[in-house]
Amino acid sequence: MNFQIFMKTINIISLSIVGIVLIYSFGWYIYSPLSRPKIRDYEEASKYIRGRFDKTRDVIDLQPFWAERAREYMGDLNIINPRDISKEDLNKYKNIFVFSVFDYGKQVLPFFKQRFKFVEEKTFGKIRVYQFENPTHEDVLYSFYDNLKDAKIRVIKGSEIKECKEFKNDQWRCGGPDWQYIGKEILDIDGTGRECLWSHPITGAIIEINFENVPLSRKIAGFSGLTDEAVRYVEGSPVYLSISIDDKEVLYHTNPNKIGAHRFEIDTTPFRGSNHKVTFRVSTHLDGVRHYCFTAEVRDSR
Amino acid sequence: MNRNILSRKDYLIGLAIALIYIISLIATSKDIGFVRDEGYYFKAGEQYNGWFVELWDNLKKGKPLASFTKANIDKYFSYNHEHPALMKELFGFSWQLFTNKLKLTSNSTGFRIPGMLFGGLLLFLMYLFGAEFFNRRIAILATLMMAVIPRFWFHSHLACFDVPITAMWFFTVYAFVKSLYSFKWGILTGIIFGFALAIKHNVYFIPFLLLLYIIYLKHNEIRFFREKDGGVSLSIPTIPLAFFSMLIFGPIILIGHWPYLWPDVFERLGTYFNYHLHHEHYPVSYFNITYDRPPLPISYPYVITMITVPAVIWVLGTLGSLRTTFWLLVQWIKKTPNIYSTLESRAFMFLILLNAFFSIFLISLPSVPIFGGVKHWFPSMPYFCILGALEFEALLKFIIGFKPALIRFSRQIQYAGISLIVLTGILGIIYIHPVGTGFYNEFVRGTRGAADLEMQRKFWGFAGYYELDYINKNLPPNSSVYFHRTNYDSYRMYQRDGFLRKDINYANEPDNATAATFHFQKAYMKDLYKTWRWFGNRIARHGTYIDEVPMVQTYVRQ
Repeated sequence: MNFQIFMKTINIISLSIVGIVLIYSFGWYIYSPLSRPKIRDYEEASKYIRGRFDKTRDVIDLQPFWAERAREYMGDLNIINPRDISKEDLNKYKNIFVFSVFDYGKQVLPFFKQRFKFVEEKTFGKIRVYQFENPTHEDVLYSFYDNLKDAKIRVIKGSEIKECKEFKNDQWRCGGPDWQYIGKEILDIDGTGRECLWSHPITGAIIEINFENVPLSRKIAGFSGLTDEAVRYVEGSPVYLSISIDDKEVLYHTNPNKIGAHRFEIDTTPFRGSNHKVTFRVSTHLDGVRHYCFTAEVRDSR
Repeated sequence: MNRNILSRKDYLIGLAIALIYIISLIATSKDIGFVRDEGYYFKAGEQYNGWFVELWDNLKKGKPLASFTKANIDKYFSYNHEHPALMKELFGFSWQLFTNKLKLTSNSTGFRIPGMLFGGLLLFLMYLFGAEFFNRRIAILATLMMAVIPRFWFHSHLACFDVPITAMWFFTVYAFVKSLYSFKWGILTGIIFGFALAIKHNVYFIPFLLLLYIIYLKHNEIRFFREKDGGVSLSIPTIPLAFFSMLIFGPIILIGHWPYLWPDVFERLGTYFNYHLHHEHYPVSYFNITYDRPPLPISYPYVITMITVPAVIWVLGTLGSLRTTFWLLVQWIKKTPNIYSTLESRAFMFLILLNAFFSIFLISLPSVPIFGGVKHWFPSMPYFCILGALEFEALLKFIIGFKPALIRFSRQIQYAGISLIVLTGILGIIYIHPVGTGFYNEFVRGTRGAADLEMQRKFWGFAGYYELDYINKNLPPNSSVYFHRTNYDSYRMYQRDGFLRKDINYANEPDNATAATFHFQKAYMKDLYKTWRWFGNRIARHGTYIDEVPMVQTYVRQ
């Protein structure tokens, strides 16, 4: 090709790129402020949700996950904002309100429509709220997290058994270093804060958490996980969680050194309607930066 | 390479741009919270200034030597000795002058003025450089493009080293090029380099880049030849005076300006170098992953530049870099005459390319500690903007050459082009101000797109400032606040400058605090969750948002 034609083509391409980017830039700076919700939109949307929200069994999903301004208006309600809502355990919620800013909610509508019953869509200025109903939602009958105070905790190292006797600030302290306790925490697991029981395993030991007289029903559901920071920090050991009912193991769950809330479910139908002892045992080969936690609930499905 | 003689008009244009820039920075300084480093430098500036005040008193008493004892030097200069003292001394002098003596500014603005002056100095030098080696149009566009990069504009407000070192890097390279034609500049280059060394350690790389430039420029004079006795000799060109000058004045100014070194020069210099060779890592979020130890992905500084410089400026800079590289390669491969037909002009463009990419390249190396922010490759940006302005010039010539009828409107076309390009940067500044670290460009749909990609938008603890109004009006007397990433020295300065109530106490943890300001930084999300747990609620009482993306929120104990 003639060099001059080549250069002319290059110049036309360059000029086109610069021109397109320039037009796009101005378009973006005009569009961006126009697409933002106003304070009034937040107020009206939150008022609408509050009018329908049952604090015991409903939830709000923020779309996008970083739309944290909603906490100024509905911070007292149950809000979740995981990166990927489709990976979450939503079975225990009766109504799910998708709070959508910048129309991000549209991206998750197919997931919700497939799994739940669509109830209503409402628009408040630049905010949209979608309500979904879960016709088969599961009632939470007992939460191991909420009942931590009633637990009996032991650290078993060979023949040595140490009872954890001090309960303070929602934590059972077992002596030893600062991190050796079983306690309520909200931890950063898979990019979102999750309520769970901190139970950092100890090399060569088993941490045993016993809950007496647990009213069992159809299932025990829960998750375990390592904090994102712990997974990032080292090539650490897996953590093992064993769950027993009346000292009979019903689940042996391995938590790999991977980011995520690793869900588990145990069918407890045979025990339905009676009280039993439930024991969680946590262990690992090497306890370096094993910032581990788990939680579980007794649920009854409809 | 053409060298234009700079006229008085050029100096006036450069000065006008610099002055307008400095005034805009001073006028908006009070909008911007104190970054963590500033907290330390405010304190250091005041302490270092104390030594000079005492020295003056001792001189008047006829006992100047009392200031030079090791104990006395350490008393004033041992704080924050991991960086040279020049900027902190200037922060202190400026505070002493503008705040204490003239009562013109708040304490913080008094400390910040030197940083702003260096921002203005850079623009002044960029204009002169462009006007001297290219033309006024290129000079103006390159300078204005640099001025309106939103992150650079943010950093230009701060009492930190990053903008000053960018200015002095540019000044050193500029002086070196001039030194090839002038004995005076040969000497001055060393002095300028010495002051650059006294600001920050980035500039230790400059001599190597200049050496590469000289090798390119004079490679024809580098010859191996066979001696009559059969041996091989190497003939090298004359070494420019500036290198000797840098070698002499560099260490003299570095050691001379920094009293902390004087009691034990070698040991303390060793400590300084050692600190930077084993620098701590700062956590950085990049595409949903938080990196808190090397290596960062090699793509990091390139991608971050692509999405944090206004889109059209990035496009022009990139196209300009490609075009310049293309012409240099064409000349090298085909030896055909082109726009860079002389060796001198090719070497000069090579120098510009080298400087435009060296700092970015350096940060991309896997062995480099994780410093994080764009400020660490600011020294690349003036050259990147010059390459962008050259691209604009090439396209302008093409448009006019394409349609000769447009010659009549060439002036209007260039004004319109420059205005539109610069306006996108100004819109970027308006969009992000005053949370400059959150700026992401149109390519990723701004800060909201960066939030989708989980890029780092907020760090350095300065945004706590935007919550102070809420705290002042709403917290009960003697409350303690967990300010999260805002450090104690910044908190003290907020109180000193009257931005924060005097009865508000600083809490190190949320456990015993009445309220907490949480800075949205992925690596520290655990602190938000800790706050929720300790406070027993998740109700944000106030927040600062850019495009609805949270920067900081305030929580209050129930």
